[in-house]
Amino acid sequence: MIFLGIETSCDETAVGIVSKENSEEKILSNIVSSQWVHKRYAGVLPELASRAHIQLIVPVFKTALEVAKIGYSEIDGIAVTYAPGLVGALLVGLSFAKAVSISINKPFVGVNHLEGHVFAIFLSHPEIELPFICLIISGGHTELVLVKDRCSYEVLGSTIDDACGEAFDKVARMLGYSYPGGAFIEKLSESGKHSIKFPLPNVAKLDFSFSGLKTAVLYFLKENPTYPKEDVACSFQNVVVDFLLKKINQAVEQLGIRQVGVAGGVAINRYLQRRFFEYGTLYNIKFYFPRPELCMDNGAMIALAGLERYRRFGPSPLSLSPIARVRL
Amino acid sequence: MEFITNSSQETIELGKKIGAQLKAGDILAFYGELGSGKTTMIKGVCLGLGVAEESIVKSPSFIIINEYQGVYSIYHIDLYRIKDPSELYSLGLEDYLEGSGICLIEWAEKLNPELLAQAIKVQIEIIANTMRKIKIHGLKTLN
Repeated sequence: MIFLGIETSCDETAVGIVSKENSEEKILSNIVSSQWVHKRYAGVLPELASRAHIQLIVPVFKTALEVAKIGYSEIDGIAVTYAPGLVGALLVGLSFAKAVSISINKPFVGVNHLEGHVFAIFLSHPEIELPFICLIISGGHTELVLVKDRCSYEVLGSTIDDACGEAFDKVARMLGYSYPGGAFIEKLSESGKHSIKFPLPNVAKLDFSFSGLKTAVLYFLKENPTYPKEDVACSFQNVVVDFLLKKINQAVEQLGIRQVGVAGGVAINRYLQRRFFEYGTLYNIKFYFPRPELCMDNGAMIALAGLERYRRFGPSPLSLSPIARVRL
Repeated sequence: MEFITNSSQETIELGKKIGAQLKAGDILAFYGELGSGKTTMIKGVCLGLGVAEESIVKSPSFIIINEYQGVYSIYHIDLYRIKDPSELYSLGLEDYLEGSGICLIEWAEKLNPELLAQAIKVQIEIIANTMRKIKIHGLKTLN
């Protein structure tokens, strides 16, 4: 079975194609607009805009088919992110997916973006045992989820204010760098010391909070404007990782599950990965990170999620509309 | 009107009072630097508008617009990531502004001021750690 997945919930226009024969899952292509446009046109992408998605969706779609070396007739279904995200952006992917589905007469399946991130872990680690705990950390989302089975989840906690990646972006901005800030903070931290003790966010249950930490960094910078930026970045990154590990530990102890998947754009951070693996060795927790290109928003994860949803629940109605906010 | 708040809780309380006075179609424009407490105050405004506590008001920086349901439909709009004002057209922002819901806009300085001629303007200034000066224009009284 071959599924095509479309993702336009935020900045990336992405199309991926995956196949599943017996139990073997393969990515046939996975095209993401930012890298692709840079390669082909050396163009600069607007930061966000539905218009950009409209311009990019057809060429990205065609490239995905070319790279996968398949024709329309070989596609068994179209999956697309319908929520959560920017409604105007979601609408582009959703409308395109419906149009393709109708014109080639193949089923159409709506996928929750967060479920896509969970499937990025399945794509990278087919060996992962169920159930597992999944931490999704990106620019727009911070969720802790119990993955009971494919397509069966329970949300354990989420952020009550800013998303994890958003905190990285905003602290980077305070340090004089513009969006996206994750890579910048990571790079800057390499030459910094963990010399400032920012307070560990204090939030009940398995929920997260990053707004207070953001403000703590702001106050520190106001009082110490000449303090080495490297040390601020390093200390900030340190406390974020401490906080995430504290919450993971809490979930692990509560549920008695020692497999933890980590997905979303922030999962690319190598410092975070190193600290998580060290922690895992110490406390007997097995961590699973997707490959970097599958951490970022992409179409392949949506394609596999759609394929599995289709096998279990059949197609989605063509009346499916985009939703800005929805839980997994 | 001008207020001093000494904690995020006090900022939320002030927001609640403002929220309780809003009516259909009102626009609130928030100004203030990163970390000044715009989202915190909006939490209060939403509570004042009858949004349930458990319907968490979180930062919409990434997805630009969050929607909540209180006495009215509430659009929590965050222009933080907007660079080019023309991007706002593709978001359908004017439809929100002219609609019958309540618009709460962070980083309102990125908008054409003409669009905000009728808006209630809230300026938040950091005086010291946790202490804020909050100026409100366009609201006659606060009960």
